[in-house]
Amino acid sequence: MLSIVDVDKSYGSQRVLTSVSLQLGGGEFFSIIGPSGCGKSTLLRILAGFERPDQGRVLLNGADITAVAPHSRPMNMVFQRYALFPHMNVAENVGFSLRIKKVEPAERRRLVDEALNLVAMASFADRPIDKLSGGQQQRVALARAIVSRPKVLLLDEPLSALDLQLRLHMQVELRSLQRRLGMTFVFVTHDQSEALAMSDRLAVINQGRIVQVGTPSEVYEQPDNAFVATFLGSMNCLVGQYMGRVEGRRQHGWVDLGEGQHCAVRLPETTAVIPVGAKVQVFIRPEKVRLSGVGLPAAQSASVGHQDNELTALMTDVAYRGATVEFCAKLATQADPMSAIMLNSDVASTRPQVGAKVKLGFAADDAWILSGGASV
Amino acid sequence: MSKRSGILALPLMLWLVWFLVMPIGFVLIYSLLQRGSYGEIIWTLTLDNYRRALDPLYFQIFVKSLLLTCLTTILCLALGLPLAYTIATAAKRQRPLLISLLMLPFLTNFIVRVYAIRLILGGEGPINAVLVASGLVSNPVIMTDSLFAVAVGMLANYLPFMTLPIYVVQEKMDFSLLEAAADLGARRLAVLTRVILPISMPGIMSGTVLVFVPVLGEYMIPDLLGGAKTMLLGNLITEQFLKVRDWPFGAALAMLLILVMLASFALQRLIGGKGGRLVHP
Amino acid sequence: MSIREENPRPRPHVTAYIVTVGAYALLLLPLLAVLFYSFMEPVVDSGATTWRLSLVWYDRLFHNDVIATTLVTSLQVAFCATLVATFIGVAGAIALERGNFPGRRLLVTLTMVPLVMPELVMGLASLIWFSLQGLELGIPTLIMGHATFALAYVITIVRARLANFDGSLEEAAADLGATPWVVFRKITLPIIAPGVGAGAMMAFTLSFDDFLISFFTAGVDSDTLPMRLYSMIRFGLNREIYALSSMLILVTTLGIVVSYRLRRV
Repeated sequence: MLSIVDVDKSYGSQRVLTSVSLQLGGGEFFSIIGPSGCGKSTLLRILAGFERPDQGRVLLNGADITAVAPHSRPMNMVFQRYALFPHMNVAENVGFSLRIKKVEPAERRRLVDEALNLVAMASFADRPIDKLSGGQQQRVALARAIVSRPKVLLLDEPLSALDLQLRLHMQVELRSLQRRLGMTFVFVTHDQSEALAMSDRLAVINQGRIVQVGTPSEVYEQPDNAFVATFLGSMNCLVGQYMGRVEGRRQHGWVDLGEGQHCAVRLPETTAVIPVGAKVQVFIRPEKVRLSGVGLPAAQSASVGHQDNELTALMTDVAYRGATVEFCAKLATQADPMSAIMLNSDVASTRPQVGAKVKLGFAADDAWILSGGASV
Repeated sequence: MSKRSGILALPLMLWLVWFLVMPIGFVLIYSLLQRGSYGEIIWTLTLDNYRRALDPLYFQIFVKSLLLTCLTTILCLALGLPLAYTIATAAKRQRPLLISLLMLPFLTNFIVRVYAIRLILGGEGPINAVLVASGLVSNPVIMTDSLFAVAVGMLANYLPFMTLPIYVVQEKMDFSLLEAAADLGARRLAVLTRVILPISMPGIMSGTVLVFVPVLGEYMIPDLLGGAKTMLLGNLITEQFLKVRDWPFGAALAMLLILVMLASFALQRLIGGKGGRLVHP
Repeated sequence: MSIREENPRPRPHVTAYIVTVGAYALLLLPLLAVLFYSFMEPVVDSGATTWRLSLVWYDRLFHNDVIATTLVTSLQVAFCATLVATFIGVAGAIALERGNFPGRRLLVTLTMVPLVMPELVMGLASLIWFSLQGLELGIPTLIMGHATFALAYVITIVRARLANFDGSLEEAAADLGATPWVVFRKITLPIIAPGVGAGAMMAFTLSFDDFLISFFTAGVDSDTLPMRLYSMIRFGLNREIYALSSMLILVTTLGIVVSYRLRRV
């Protein structure tokens, strides 16, 4: 429905976007995520029409809209700091686009009320903007952008100015609003948990290039490269030497971690064969690592099937996080300690002390490997 | 947006070129021309006007003006700093009122303000009334028509120009810095010299320029308060244009004024560095 | 967003208070003195002068035709200069603040020049320029001279106002379907309106108040009120000035009080 084809953009000598291409479906909640300065906001501004790409096209339902002015595009934007008109009240703000389109007053009032109802702000219609809290302003900005039912809603980090509680709440509301309206949402954020929780699909951008596109679980579980792996969620990274395939298992290989420790890891399906002896990085999500000996017997057997790997390490830290407990333990040959996050309810009350020798276990399928030079 | 806004700037550009750049350009050109015996302009290039400006007869006026300007600036700073600080630390609601009071004389006619100083210092004024009534002097002391009166007039007129930029900076200052400094062992004087003054520096620099440049070119205050004996740069230049009709020499003196102005900006840049942005009242 | 309360600020040293009181006295006493003397008439009685309350200066002021004429000139000049400065200034301020075109930085610097250039230089430069073109000095030259420096103040004030508002406001309006002209009328103009008002008022006040530039650019029959004031003072004591000054002070004070009240509403 909305396509971005091979878009390049530079500001002066600074390259902001490099051959960016995306295909968005109708009614999709699509997130664009990346570190600050990666070009994601520029991409959104190109979609809205505020910036012209140096090269490439933007297509909406097959029609080229690259050169169409912002005010003629059937897409609306929710701005990062809302950009609510300070000299108008809530209803006037929401009704602005209808007024521009010369919708007659009665109909306008009905549509404004409907939009305000959708964001649960109906009782604030006559309020001046500066008498609203941040969360309320957020809702008004949302109502203003959806009132004329655009084909696409663009959201530029709309939740970043809210505090944590409100942000979590608005995530749920935005998602349900999008489902009710059936509108395509393009959501730009730098918050990975937000993107994972809300999106149908997401694109990860780094340094002006799209590095991976997929559903949240695809991108989280099967990152294409080290950048995606470490940018989305926390990640353990071990450095070692590739030793070749595990005998009898096609998709697994051995990695030597030094001082006699080694582990079995899943091999990438697509990329070229890794030469034996190459320096490689092994990635394991902390929640996939188990600390042997601390799990309750029942949970142990239920949650952990077979564990291919068991590494010996020294406990450096235990952090109690409410629902979970994070254990950090250092392998003698690795610079950074490995972290294991376990559900609090799975952990026995007797825990290893800092300095104790512990065993870290994980399945070969949960550890994947990238050869050293492949990090992006 | 950007292409369209270029068109919006066009009238401004044309106006400034025609009514600002061209006139000031011709001040430079005139300063290099000669005056005929009837005050007309002779279009031959010469540096005579500058040579004449450096003649002791005129140069001492320039030096005297410069000294008085420095004195005025220092006095403005000495009063303006504590004044700005007092306003900046006043209760939030009182600050706009105090600033309005500061601006009150500002918005009254300039000549009235200068004349009022004359009235205050004059023989009929309140100061003399008090002096005579208390028996300290038998006859009123005439304080007008003197350099002293000029200095008072300059101070009364230009103090707000120094105070406002300093206030603008101090008002936005994070006052917990002062507590932090005290907490780290700084005494009152150290807090002043090591925290308040450095933070206020952009305001001080702006204020200094806002006072120094116009005071040096001031015409009215020395004219009304200095009497016939006190000739300062501003009066000298004005006379060349409106009485003596020696425009080339007047233009050369004006260039001298512009040079001092440019030098003071350069100095501000040098000292103020990144904080050298002008803060305007 | 809750409005953050300000922490209490430290009390300044007692010397700062003393300086403050002294400074306010220096600034405000002259005005009070003018007010006071405008109501006093000296009576010379056997060599000694005594003072009595009187409205004689006000009476004479209202019968002074020359002052009335120059007042009209001043108002005319101030009105026209304000009009020119506001139109060119507002357009320029929007362009400078929101646009990005070649020469923008140079133009920004140019607009600052009248703010920092001594009035004297502005005046004599205008005189040279106008006489070179053979323009007869009069009300038109006064307007041109005044508009140039008033322009700088209008731009500074309107730009400051624009800078307080996110450029995304205008983008939001365009995004919601407003054409550039509608964006200007419905968003930009209402937002900068207070700045335009303040800038125009500043321009008017500065023009009305100006002496030095008028001194250089006025013709034989186009004396402004400040010029008239000046010659009255320069050539002999004329106590009607007290009355005129007092009225100017009162008008200005009233203006400040009203605008202060308006702002708090």
